[in-house]
Amino acid sequence: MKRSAVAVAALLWGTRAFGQPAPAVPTPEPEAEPEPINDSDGYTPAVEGAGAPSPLSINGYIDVGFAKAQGDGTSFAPNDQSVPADYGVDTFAPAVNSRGDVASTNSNGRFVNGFLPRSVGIGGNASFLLNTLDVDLKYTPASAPLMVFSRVQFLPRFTGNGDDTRVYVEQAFGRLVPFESQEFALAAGKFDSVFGIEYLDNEANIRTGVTPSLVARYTTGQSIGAKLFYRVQIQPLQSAVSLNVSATNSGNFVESLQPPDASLTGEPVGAGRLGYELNTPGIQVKLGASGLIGPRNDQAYQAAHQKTYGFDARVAVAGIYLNAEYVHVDEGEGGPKTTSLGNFPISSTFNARGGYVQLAYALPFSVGALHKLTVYGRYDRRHAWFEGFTPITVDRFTGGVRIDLWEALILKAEYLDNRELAGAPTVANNVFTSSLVYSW
Amino acid sequence: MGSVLRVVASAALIALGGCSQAPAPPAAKLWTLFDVQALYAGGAPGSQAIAANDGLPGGIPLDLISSPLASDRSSTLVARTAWADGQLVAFLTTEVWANYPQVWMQPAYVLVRRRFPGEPLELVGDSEQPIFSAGPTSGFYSPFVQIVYAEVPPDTVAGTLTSAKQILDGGYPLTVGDAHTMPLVPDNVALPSTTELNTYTLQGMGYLEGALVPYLDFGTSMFTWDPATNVVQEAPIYVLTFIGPDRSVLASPSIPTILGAGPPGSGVALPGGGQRNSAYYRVHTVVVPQMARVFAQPGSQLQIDLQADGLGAFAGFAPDASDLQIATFSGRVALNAGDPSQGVSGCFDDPTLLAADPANPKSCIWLASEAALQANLDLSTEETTAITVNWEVTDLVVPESGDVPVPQPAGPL
Repeated sequence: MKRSAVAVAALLWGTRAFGQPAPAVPTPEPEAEPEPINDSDGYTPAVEGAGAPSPLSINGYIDVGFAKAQGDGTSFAPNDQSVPADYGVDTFAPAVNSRGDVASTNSNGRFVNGFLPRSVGIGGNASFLLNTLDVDLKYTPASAPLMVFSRVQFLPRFTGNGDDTRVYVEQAFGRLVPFESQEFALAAGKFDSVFGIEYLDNEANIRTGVTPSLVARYTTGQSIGAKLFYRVQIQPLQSAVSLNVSATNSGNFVESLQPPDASLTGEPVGAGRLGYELNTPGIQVKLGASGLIGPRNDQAYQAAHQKTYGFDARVAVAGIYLNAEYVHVDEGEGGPKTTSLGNFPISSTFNARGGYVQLAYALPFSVGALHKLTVYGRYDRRHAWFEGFTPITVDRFTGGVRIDLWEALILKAEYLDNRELAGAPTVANNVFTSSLVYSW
Repeated sequence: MGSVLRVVASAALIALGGCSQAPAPPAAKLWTLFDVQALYAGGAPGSQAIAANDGLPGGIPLDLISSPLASDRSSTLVARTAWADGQLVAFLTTEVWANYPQVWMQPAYVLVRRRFPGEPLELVGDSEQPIFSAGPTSGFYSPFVQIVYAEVPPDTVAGTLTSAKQILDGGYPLTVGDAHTMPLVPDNVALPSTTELNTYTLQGMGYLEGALVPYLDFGTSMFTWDPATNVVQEAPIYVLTFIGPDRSVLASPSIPTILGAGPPGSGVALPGGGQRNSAYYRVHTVVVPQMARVFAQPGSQLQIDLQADGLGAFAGFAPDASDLQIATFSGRVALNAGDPSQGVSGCFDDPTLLAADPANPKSCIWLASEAALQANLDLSTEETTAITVNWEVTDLVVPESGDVPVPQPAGPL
């Protein structure tokens, strides 16, 4: 039971930040299973012990999906001719995988201005998908407090434009732990977000469900820069306080919205999270406040700022796991827009408010190959507007089940009920999606 | 020592090198009548120009768009004149774009219904109240609108459907109608007198985000668009420029611009077969030869304005011109005017030569049409600016004694 609970916590909050410095104070129940470090500095491979057979390790996963979206797989209303087509709807709603890729972004010729996710190009058809082939390399030399990590992902896609397959370097960084006695780490390269908590669930082999929330686009993107993580354990209070800050090219928007691989403004984007965690045998509580400020990296003007803040909370008690997050986004107007999807004429003033609440429960049994059975539900809500356009409010109910078989196979299935509450026209864009994840 | 090295290594790890940035590409900018009013309200004088650094010398002064705010905070649109195929037309400016490679037509929904099956469609309410989709604070706001008629139930009450979401969610039959030039305007902006415009422009109220907003409707057939993308097709306008003694490029808003032909299908044919206009223009500048002169009577407001714009040396006049000739030719640019101060003879020497006469090579060659520019100028001097404008060319300027704008209507050229 206890083992199961901790394991589900790992699922919900992200697995332990591999390679994270060992806590100065032992975490509760260390003998059961590696404790999830919720205020981690991202999904990174574990530090190997001195007796490790090789300083180099290769890990990864394969995410095979099957999805079917309603309608044409987009959120565009068929009779709507207003432009840009992506300003009056939520193009990210019909997500089909953990990357947030949607069934389609085909606007049928209507002009779009780059507020778009990646697409798997299946429209309203049911289709098998190879969402991600992920290969992780980690090198930990015995002679230095250094860890080098890379994550390369193969993303086979076939869209209306033909073969759209990409090989994507999602992470590549080195991390140094300069003081043996401190939970203090410095990293440089391309690494995970520091904002909020949802980035901990980016990878399909970690995420409880299949798809990210409606606000994940603002908080879960990787970027290139430098990062600092520091945590202080407060043993008498069974608590810890952590700080995770970064200076990067693009902040934490996903790469389809802001390109992370080059600074378009010459000025870094600062982001950080201050976290508090309470770890007792009966309950675990994690609270955080995050902020981000700097020029928006989808255009070239330093004066066009983006400011984001958010709050997050996680509670684990009696096998129930609650995650919640609120995000507040403001972007100023800038110059011509450039994203990973192309060039667009205007980077408009944009605002968004939103969040989600996720509840998961791991059924307390394990039989043979069945290691875990988790049921979960999530409610997302997002209110957003581009300057001069009608604000839109959308929400989403997500319900699903996750089955962990053996140690290396996960089967997940979920249904997304997307609703357009205000501003955006009502469209058929609900999604059934599933994911089979092999890990090694 | 080990810790020191670690710290140094850490610093090295996070050190970010300096970099040099390429210049940022120019930002797209849109000025609507709301922006013009806001600039006035902020204390801007009428001479303050917008789009001042986007390729047109001097930019576009505010008082060429609307008058400064009156004490009641109202303003009046300014009617100006331009040449279209050698004939003078009046126009209003309601939007100016800079660094927009293209603009798009937006839909506006108009509610219609049938009282009883089989009866003709009628508007819901006493007047057309379009539902607009993009407001003037958006970079994608457009005065170029395609009317989409939504056939709603017969008992629909005016004012109950005010948003595009309601229309689209309602599943009402939609019928695409005509395209109109319909700028949204502040509620305290007035049109100039019909004497200046010689046309009737509909003023109405529509809905934007559920709230009423005033608009002007200049009618149909003023622009064309790509049906695949709804991109509005642009026509050229030419601003004549002069090279000053210090090699600076000089221009004056007092010299009427020259409208190029609109895309096929746009505009309304002029009497005599000329293409009248589009509504969406890109500004081009063309340098005229040094010997070209603007016809301006000494002491006239036009001559004073040219002097103020640094173009005094490029003004010319036929001393014995009649009042009718002065009214007819003021503001026009003649290629072969001559220059008495330099002993160069030309068509301004003799008033009988002012009227263009193809049979008389000494008669004036006026630059008042795109064809005249193409025939007489080195168009390699043409510069395409980053500025596009919505010029609602309302009609030909009709001669009326004593009450017509300057420059006066032209005779045959």
